[in-house]
Amino acid sequence: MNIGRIDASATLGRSWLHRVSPVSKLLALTLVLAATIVTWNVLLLGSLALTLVAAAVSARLAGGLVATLIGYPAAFATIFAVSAATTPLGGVTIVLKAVTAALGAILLVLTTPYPFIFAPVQRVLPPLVGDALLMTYRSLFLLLEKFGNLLTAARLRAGLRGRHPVRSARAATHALGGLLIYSFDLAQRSYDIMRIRGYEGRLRVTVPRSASPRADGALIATAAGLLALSVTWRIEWQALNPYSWVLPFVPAAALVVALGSRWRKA
Amino acid sequence: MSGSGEDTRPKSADGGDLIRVSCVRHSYEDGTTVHLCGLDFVVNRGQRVAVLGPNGSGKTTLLYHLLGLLRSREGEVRVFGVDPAQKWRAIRERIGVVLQNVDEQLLAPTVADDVAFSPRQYGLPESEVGRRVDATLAALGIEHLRHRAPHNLSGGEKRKAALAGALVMEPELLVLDEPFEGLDPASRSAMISLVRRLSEERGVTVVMSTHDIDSVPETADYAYVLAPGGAIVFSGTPEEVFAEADLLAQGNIKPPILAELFTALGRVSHDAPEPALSISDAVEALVRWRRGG
Repeated sequence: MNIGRIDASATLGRSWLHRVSPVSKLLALTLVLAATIVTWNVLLLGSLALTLVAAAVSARLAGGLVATLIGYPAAFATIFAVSAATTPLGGVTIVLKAVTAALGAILLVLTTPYPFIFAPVQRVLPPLVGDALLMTYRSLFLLLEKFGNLLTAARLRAGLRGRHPVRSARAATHALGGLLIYSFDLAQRSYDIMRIRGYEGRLRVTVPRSASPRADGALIATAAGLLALSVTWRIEWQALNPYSWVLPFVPAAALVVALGSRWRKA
Repeated sequence: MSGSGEDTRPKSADGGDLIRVSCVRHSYEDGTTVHLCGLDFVVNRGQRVAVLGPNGSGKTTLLYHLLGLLRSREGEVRVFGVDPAQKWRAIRERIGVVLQNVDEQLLAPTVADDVAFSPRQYGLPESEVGRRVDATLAALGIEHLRHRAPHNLSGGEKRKAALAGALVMEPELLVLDEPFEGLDPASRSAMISLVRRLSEERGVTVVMSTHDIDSVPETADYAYVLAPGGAIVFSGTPEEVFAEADLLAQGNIKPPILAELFTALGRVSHDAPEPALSISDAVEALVRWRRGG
């Protein structure tokens, strides 16, 4: 299941991008999103996307998982582009914008545990909403494990069989029903535990500091540079557009270096 | 010892009971009633008490009453002199808890955050929270798990993390519900050593329910036996409890293998050695017996 793989990547990864502080990554993502919004030059958009791909490769993220996750926005953006774009170039721009923005977000979620992404947000939310966001994380994994066990039990007892979709659907529904009841019990027990352990209406999560301040600086500087380039290109597009073909070379070179480094380590 | 005999329980220095449960009755929504009656359940400061009994005998019900999670319809529950169901806030900082399903007990996204849960809730300054978390993780030897997510831990690691969360407030009383369940032999041994060490070094009073009979001689200095339905039918030191083979059989409790060995020896030899419940004591007793001493 993708949620499990995403979490494993975020919590168990040890790459340079994993070591960057969550706050720096959130800031960098904001800058990259801004750059993506500002840019209408296809080659510049492609360069942004290539930069993010190079970052994903150098962070040793699972290529299959990244491709799967990028597939959803790419598919929907393509449908939108086909129906809305007036020129092929316009269509490609729409798809590239969606893919680049999604890639930035995917890099964040694959290198940062969910609670650390939401911890800064939680501080400005009402306590109940913030706590619910954080509790969702633990509960989700408990429920996923339980659901997996229920489905396995159903499968072992011949409840899930490809040739009998109605029976399979019925068994899966039973499992979901069991999960629902379990989730009510779980909520009660979780509250009991929280009460025993002194819960007084506010969960707090410590966001870890950067393990590599240099990497933090480099990430933010790169993101800021990309935004500056995008803004400059947007303003001076008439003068700069003839040189657009140069843009992809730098991220392409970075990608080659990242691939080489990954291949050597493999 | 048991209801009919003289009370041999070690008394606390100040003579006060830390816990007293007298004839408590609790009815669940499905109609099941647990009547914890018979002997009073009394725990003194510094004791390590095991609660033994078959499934459905009310071990967890007893522990939940101690934690104020259940309110008794009849009878009396006193922990640190108050009814925990009514005055839990007054005593909660003095009690650490590890429940049966530790997965559900680990609330925070990382081990360090989970251990810090209670100190933060009690409003300790962040520097003090950090100091306590560091000290507790170090004491249990799990510093390396600090930034790990609970769902990525092994069963033994989860239990240690839950124990760290229970110990971080330096409690006087530790309540453990089936602390050794589902652990592999190495993790089980580590947990047993840990419980003993906590009790001996910090003077923590321990109350634990367990099906792991073999762990009782190593972890407890006193034990209560519950019968199906909740009756507290016997209490005594582990040696006294495991000498009552008939009573244990009635409660579907299988004595530790060493207790069974010495009982069997007693059946075949009139000069069989006194029962021993630890390997070292058993070896010593058997060697002495062989030499005719």
